[in-house]
Amino acid sequence: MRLIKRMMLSFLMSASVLPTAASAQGFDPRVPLAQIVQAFQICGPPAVYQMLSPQLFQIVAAQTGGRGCYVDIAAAGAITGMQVIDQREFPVGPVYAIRVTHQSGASADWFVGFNRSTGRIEMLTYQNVFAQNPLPSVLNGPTNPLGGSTNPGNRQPIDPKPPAPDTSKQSQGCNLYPDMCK
Amino acid sequence: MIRIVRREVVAGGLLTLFWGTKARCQISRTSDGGGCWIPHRQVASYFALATKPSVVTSGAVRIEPRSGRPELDRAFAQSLAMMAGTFGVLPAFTYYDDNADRNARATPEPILDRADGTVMFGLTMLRDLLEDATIADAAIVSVAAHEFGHIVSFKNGMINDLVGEDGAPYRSEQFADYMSGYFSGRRKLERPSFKAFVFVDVLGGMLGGGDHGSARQRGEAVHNGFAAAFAQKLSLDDAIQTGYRFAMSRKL
Repeated sequence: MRLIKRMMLSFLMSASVLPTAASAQGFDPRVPLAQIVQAFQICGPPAVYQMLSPQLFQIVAAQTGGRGCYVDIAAAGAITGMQVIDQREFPVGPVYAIRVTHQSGASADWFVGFNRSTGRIEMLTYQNVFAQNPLPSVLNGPTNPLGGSTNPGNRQPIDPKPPAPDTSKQSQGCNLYPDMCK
Repeated sequence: MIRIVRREVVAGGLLTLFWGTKARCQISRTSDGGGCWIPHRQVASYFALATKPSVVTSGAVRIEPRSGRPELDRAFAQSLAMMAGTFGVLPAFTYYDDNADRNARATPEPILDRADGTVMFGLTMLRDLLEDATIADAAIVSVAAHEFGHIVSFKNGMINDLVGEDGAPYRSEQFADYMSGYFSGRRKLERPSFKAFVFVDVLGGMLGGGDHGSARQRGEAVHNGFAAAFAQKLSLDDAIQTGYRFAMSRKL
């Protein structure tokens, strides 16, 4: 409970740490997501939770008993790679699909939605990429201002792309001019 | 006569498989007609849409961080510097608001002093090219290299022959595609993993006709340029001459 009090306190005192409309051009969504995932693994530091909207913060606290971390995400191991695989703009702000791979071999597509005016994360969820190394059950934010359902079982905030294709195999250039593919 | 050469977007055919419905081919013409040529009096209006021009003399020069991916912005700046070195030209580079027009352009008129003309890269086009993260880097470079190809023809005066009396831009576009392919070949020699095939996917991905040439014609020009660098290992001067002859022999 001490941690959640610290989290709440820091949250109330925090300012926006994510890009506002004026500063979003050079924004790399992988940076805050990496911090969030790592916080979900090691239960902190509290400042990281400042990136979450108040509602999302409350949900995380409720789902984790105030600890701020998830056992199964921690079990996936350290992040070994992150790739932005999709981005959609919504009136509230952008939603990114980011493929995160872990030391254990597990991969998940995280969907993280930002509120442009507050600079905070409003929506956060993920889908496992490979069934043989699944991450835990879906993590949901409390509300989805971008139009998705709040039902954890049905939540599909955006339609994610399938895993990134091997572009060379589908390439017109490769088919026509194999010497450009060698 | 001062010209601005328009490079249309670029996607269609198989490329649509990558980029989905947002990847579309368009040939948009100026209200004044004349295909891709924009009258001199419109140059100022295009410059008014420019963001922050820079002359990228080396990879250390920072361009505007417009991609949302800092590492890609840095790599793009390095590629622009490589193009300048490979092609022996030093145009000013700037993004501009292309709105729904989705274009990149080149003009012999410098937006900055002492530059060899100006390459203008549309922000809408940039956004579209970024959609497939797996090829975005090479896709952006292919378009920029095409524009640098135009700059080469502006600087050495070949543009006058390439366009001809009728003002048709087809041969100048073939030359620019050839030079873009040449750059891809040079890069692949330096770095074998370089995705040269993306140049065909992008520049040769356009469906239908239009004054830039068909998808097949554009792909052929890119591939010929690629082979000049990668297989034949032509010097820049030889590649320019070969590209010129190639383009002049082409018929729309």
